[in-house]
Amino acid sequence: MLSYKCDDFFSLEAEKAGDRVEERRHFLVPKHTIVPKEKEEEILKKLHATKDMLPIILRSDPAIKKLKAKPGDIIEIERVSPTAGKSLYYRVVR
Amino acid sequence: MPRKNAESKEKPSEKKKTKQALKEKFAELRGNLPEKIWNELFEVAEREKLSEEEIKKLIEEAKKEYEQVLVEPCEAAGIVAAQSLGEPGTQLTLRTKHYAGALEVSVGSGIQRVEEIVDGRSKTKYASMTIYLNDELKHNKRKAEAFARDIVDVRTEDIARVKEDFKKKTAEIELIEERIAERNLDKEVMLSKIREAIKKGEVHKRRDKLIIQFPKELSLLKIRNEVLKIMRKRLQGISGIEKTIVTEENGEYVIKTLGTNLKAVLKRKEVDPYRTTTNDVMEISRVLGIEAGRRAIVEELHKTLTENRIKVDLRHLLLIADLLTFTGEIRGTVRTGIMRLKQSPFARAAFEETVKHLFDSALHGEREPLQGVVENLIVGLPVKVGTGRVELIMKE
Repeated sequence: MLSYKCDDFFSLEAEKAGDRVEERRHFLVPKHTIVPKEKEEEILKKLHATKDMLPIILRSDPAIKKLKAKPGDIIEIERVSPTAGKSLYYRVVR
Repeated sequence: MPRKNAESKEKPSEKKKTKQALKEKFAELRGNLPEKIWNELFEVAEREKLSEEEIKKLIEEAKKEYEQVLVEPCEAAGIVAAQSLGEPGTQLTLRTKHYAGALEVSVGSGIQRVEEIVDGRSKTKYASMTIYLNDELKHNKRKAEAFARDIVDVRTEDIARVKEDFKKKTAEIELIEERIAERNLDKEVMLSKIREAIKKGEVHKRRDKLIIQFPKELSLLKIRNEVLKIMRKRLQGISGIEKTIVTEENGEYVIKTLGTNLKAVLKRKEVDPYRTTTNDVMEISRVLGIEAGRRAIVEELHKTLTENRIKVDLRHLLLIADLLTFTGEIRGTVRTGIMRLKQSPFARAAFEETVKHLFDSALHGEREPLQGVVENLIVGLPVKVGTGRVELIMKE
């Protein structure tokens, strides 16, 4: 059986910070980036979804304040997952 | 000696390089294998010193296995997740009642806590913060304790009592000796801080007392309001932090608090703003964003369940957390939360307040598309889940 430790979240984050210098984030906050307009279609096709089916991130969300995202943009979130290592998640700005 | 050291340091990095090269070589074979499995495969390959041919075979085999355990299309993953959490939850309820008489079981953990998170309540009952300190303070117990004392929210009413005389229009504020001692505060500083809070009237100081003479034309109601304002004035600390305690954790000093105010604490330069957290998931999602809130939900649920020795697969918790944060803010599994977002009026009516929901949807002329599970159960049609979803028949 697989077993999970709660520190899984911590250790993975620490490893990542080691090999390249990045803007430091709170350990709970994953990396957010805006998906360029050209790549949007490719991602939606991969997910078999339309934009209004995606989960939402609010425009006022503290994590994307610096990105200056506009409503309708897709945000790519690089999650540190204890089951899959790194996983990508997409949210649409509203 | 130094030469030998340099050699041994070089070796692992070289190994890493060849591993990286191998990974890149087989990158197109990866398909949809997640990173963790991908890394594990190459660790095995390295340990067993597999040839390239064998690695190729290994990857193909792993891919086959992986695709077999993926969730099938149309599988009711949500219902499985709900049951997986619900069944041990029932056990936990029974056990909590059994333990009700025992002292050591705190009310802040157990089924109530799970309910609190899943329902998305805006107020956490036993809110608590874990404050990590910066490099200067984390190994210095004296400074850490001083800081812990400094952030406790102290109001005038906590350390002083007041006597009002409405005839003479005076008020007498007297410091309570013991309360000041137990909080380790300085009497003179506190008095001067109270004095700053007094806006109207003349102030006389007599030993530990402050006597306020209000102007004669001030009405009694206004005097009362003024006194209450002074009593509620925050003299020091961060609002919301009720108690603090310094503990040692992995060789550094950490402050645990009762009460929470993440935003204000993160702004203080004495804390480590990258690790300090609270157990209030709503507050995390407000201060650090919805993704941080999602992870806080998973961690808090997982922590509560493991504390009670309940094993629920983490994937169920991940799914629940994703659902709660779907709309960009945390919404609970209550009729005012995610249930309200349901398109189907039958599904909403089946959950809570049946008559109200049916009445409202009739008033607004809503349509019932009969797509979900509950709706189809109500009207007696096959549920569109699993094999019920497929409308084609296989050709031999």
